[in-house]
Amino acid sequence: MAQYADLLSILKLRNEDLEWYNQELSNLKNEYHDEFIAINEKKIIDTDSRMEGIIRKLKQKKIDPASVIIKFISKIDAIL
Amino acid sequence: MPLMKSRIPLLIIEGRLVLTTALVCKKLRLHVPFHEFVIDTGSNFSFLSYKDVLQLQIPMKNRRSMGRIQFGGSDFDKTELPPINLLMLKENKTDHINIKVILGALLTKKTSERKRKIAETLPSILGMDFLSINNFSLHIYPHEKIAYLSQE
Repeated sequence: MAQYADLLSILKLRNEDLEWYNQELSNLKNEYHDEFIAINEKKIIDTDSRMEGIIRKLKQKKIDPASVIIKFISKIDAIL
Repeated sequence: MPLMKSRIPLLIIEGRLVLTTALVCKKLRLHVPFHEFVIDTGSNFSFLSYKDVLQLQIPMKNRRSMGRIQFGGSDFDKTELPPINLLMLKENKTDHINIKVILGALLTKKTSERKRKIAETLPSILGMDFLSINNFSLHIYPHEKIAYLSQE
């Protein structure tokens, strides 16, 4: 555990963010349509219609895109 | 005395089974605290999606192609990546499991805006190969909204 303690403590926090996203999903679908949203500490910190756009915005804010949750919000359900 | 099984909790999000992990790979310079995979028993491959390749900023130049793959109604190049360690928290949120996996990465050359956007929204997948090679069993109780992986 000690070797990866830094990663695992953030993983726990991001799991809480993901649970928050799951609870808020119907509200988020009313607010955003066909947009990527970045989530950190149960807050939307940025949005963009393109993945490359939201990555660029996060980098401009000196936020590592891999350190936050990025989700695509659409009113249209998708199946794999 | 019977061996204790390790349980790895899954989230059920929009009807999909989601496993969250940290990712570590020295060759790719990955030291990522959070990544989402959808557990898909209908897939016989495990891979990082195009969206996640972008998000993780994995350098993809000069990587070997493993052929074409159909996913979510789109056509992708499946590209080879070095082995990646997945770190998964156990049910008690204190202990973890560390597993080395082989994942492909999906790349798209779609030029139309619509097709490219679809490619950007598809998730990373852990398929039957992941469950089988790592001796995981999958338990789902949809009515109770409980799902987990267990491993001897």
